[in-house]
Amino acid sequence: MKVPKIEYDNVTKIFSTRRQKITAVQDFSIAIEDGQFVSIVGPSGCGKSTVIRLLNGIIPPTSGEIKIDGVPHGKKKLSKERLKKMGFVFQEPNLLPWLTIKENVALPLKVFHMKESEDWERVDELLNMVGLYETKDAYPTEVSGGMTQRAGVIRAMVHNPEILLMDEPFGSLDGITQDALDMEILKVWEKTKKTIIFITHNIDEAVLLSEKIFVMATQPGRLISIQDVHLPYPRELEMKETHEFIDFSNMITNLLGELELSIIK
Amino acid sequence: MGTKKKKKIEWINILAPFVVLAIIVVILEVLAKSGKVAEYVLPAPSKVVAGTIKSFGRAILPDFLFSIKIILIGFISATILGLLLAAVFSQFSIVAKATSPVIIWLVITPMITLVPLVLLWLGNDPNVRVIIVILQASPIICLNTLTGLTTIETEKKELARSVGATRFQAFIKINFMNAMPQVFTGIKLGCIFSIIGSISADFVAKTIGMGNKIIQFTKYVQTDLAYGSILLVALLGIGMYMLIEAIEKKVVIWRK
Repeated sequence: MKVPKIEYDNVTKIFSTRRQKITAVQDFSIAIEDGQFVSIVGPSGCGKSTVIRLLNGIIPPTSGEIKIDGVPHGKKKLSKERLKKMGFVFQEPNLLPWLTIKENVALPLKVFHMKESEDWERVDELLNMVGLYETKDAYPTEVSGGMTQRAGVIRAMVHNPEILLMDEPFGSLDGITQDALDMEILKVWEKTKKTIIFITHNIDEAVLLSEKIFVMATQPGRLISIQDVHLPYPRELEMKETHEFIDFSNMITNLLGELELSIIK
Repeated sequence: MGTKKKKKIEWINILAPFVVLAIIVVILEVLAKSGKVAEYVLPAPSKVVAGTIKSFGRAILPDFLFSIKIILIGFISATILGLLLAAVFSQFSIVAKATSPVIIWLVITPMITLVPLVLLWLGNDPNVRVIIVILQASPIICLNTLTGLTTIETEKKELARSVGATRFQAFIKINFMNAMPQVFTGIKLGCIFSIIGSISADFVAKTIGMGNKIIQFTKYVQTDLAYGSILLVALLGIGMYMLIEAIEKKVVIWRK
């Protein structure tokens, strides 16, 4: 049997504040195959961002186990070898304002001590791919929001990771730029076949991009449904207009809506 | 067209303070020449400048050079000391919390109150005043730098963890640069505090230095020279401040 690329086994994360304990994620178990594009959707506070932060070792789980290629994370801080397998795209571009676009993109190479010339060639390659080569020496405050977010995406790819973790990466951008970047990330995925976990609260975006959607609910943050998206690739923006797309998207919206209603009752 | 307009505004920004200065000088000049105010209270600006230039080489220069020496050595040492202490304190949050009240206490205490004691402990050598300057300026530099090093957005910390940055890598590549705006605020305040420290040490020790000169000139009713000395100290301070600000603009490119 093939080992899944990523596995969550009964993962729970509880944040303890002075006044109370908040269960951000409860008994979360999923498996993601190598090369899959999956999305996690849910209302704010459902722990969807926590899920990928746990995988990336940014925060440790309270209990349960997370595995990559069948090997568990373990209790210690993640090794650089393991971290190198992942790239994290933040909600805000989260670029360092004192570095140029190119220096920002190359940051992981420096921290991971990757000195091979092919690694450094990838910096220019990626800059070219997203149309940032001309502005590579500008500082983040000097370019547009769409450009800084593109830089944030390729920074997560510069060390050639097998897994991309994207935390509502295009949520703060205007609709047109969001659509454009959605299509770009699809092209990147089709070309590289990286495993991608995409976090979003925008259900249409999740349907447009992914093969599989994990639906989460809040209080406590938990998985309530797994939905396969049966739309063919390559996906196009026009698909959003088809009945199939709209019905599927409404179905997931209803899943979440019913739950909200049951909480109110 | 946009840049042309921007240039025009920049010119106004540079020119405006000089216009204000000119107006103040003219008013003072007219007031002094009108004879309504005694000369030992308010000498005419023209007389202050002329008198100061005339006596500069003989009566002021040695003290001015001494004060520059004390201020510069003290300020540079205070900057290095303040930054180093902040860097060390920031690595241990318990140390940072424990030392903050002491640092604030040092910032608030006017060092002029300690000058007699320091002179008592370390003797009457004028160069001892460097220590007063360091005591006066380093706490404020340390305090601001410490604030900068310890307040950092969660996302930046997460970025460091996501790429597995070691503590040292995170400090050098992220925390330190992230603190730069506060570091420069601290250094600019430290520059002002250095001058206050040096002049107040002169006031107490009274042997040499611009603070000593100001007291002497006032005592012998050479009010124009007293004003001139004050002006020279102010010019020194403004010069240092502007130099630091110019460096800040080169380093902190992201702050508008």
